[in-house]
Amino acid sequence: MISTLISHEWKRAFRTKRIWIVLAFCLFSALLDPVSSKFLPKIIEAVGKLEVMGLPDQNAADALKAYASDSSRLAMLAFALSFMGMATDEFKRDSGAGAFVFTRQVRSSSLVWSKLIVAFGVGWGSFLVGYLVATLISIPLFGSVPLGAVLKSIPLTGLFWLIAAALLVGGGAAFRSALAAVATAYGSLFFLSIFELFGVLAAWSPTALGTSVGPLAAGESVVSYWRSLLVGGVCAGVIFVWGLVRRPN
Amino acid sequence: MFAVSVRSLAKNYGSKPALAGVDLEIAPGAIFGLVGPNGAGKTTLLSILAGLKAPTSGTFSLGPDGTGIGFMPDTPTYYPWLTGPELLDYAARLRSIKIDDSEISWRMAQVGLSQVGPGDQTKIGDYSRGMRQRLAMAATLLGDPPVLLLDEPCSALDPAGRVEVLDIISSLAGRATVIFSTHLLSDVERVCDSVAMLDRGRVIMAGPIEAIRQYGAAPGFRLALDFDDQGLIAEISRYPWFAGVVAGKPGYYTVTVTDFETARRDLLQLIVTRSVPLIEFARADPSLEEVFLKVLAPR
Repeated sequence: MISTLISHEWKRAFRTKRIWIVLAFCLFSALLDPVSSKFLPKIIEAVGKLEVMGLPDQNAADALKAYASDSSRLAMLAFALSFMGMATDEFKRDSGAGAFVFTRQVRSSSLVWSKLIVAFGVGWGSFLVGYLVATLISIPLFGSVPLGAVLKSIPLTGLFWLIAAALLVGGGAAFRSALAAVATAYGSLFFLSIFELFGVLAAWSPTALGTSVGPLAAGESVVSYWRSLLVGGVCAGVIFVWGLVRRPN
Repeated sequence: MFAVSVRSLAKNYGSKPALAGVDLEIAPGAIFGLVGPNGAGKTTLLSILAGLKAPTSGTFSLGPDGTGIGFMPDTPTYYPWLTGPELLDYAARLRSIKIDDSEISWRMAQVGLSQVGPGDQTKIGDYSRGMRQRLAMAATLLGDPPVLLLDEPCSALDPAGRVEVLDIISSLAGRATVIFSTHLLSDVERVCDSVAMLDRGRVIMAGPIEAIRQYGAAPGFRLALDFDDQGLIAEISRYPWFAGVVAGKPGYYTVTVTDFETARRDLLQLIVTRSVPLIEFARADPSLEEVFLKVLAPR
């Protein structure tokens, strides 16, 4: 049953072009960020002589962090907007596709899980494709990349996209509104990213999971991200479980 | 043993009651019509039976184990990015039914979509409303579920399509228990063996069609003559059983009586005696629509 639902959601992601939208945003950032990291300080310096801005030369870790940061904002927004309908379609049970699925004895938890798996797969998969492109572009631009940090950051970015997907799908199932799904996913992550503005709280922001490549390259430990995971996991977990157990109206 | 049994079912939307204690019992294999004005609670009742809404109170049971329901919503808006055959294939997979291209073709043809075969690439989003309704019917019938809940299954169909779908419903009699809601009482009269009338969330009348038709109806006869014979009507009006007459087009009358048997004997005798040029002499059964309007008249 779950495999039927997952393959159906995959088909939906391709046929409705959602997957290409998210991938396009990731690739856009992946192509732009390494180049801008490399040349922007030089351009500003050459054009404006603004040494006062004190833009230091960027390295490959900065370029990859910029990609990860842009992905967790722009691509995440594209992800949330393009998947909001998918996250809520069947949970509006009054008519159409929702009635069709539920009267065939599909448990709503199976539906929620299948949507989570596909949303996560599309989001993280697109991010990883972009990550690979950004890494490959960074090699000729910067001479080398911090491969160890990149590899260590991959599971952490996976957790970040899993949290985002769980918030989106859980929000859609819990509130049965596309707008509420986006607000839950993007709003929660945006709100929690405010932690990053307050020095000591920065380590508690789930967004830090998505941009971990910079600090990891600087020698930070993977284990130190447990606080980000805890906050993100609890928020996403509560919303997701709510979506799982929500009964018909 | 009833195929569908509903006890004191109530549903509130906020403080507004949509169903206010519905009781129904439907025999296995029955074709059961659900009629009522807009907002009577028909769709809410079917949605609860289908498991799409939770009742506020009350209980219901469907079939021996409560499984195997086919539900057709009143506004079937299926995945617009799938083709019709893909939807049937998906529906079959959800029900763990093996289905091949030939069965998909047969199912499509059964509901008048023979032009849409397994290779057809037209997306459901490009289907007309009538085509979507036919597709919904095909998806609902898949796996031959023992209980079918059809919410206004003919609302988007042209007259020919309506007849086709009603014929399909008729053919299910005895094989599946069908509950279908509609505004078209002629559809109910055509295919149903029993009916329930809902108004403001309550069942105000339920039973076999024939029994419902007789509700509060004065017995009478339909007379059709070759020409307008006012003399005959004047003579009829002198009988003690005469209750009234309604004239239709010239020569067509509906005579209501107080004593059906005596009136039948006297009328036949009178027709013979006067050598009335008779076209039709029949019992005037009230239509379901007349009963419906009478029952739903402001109370």
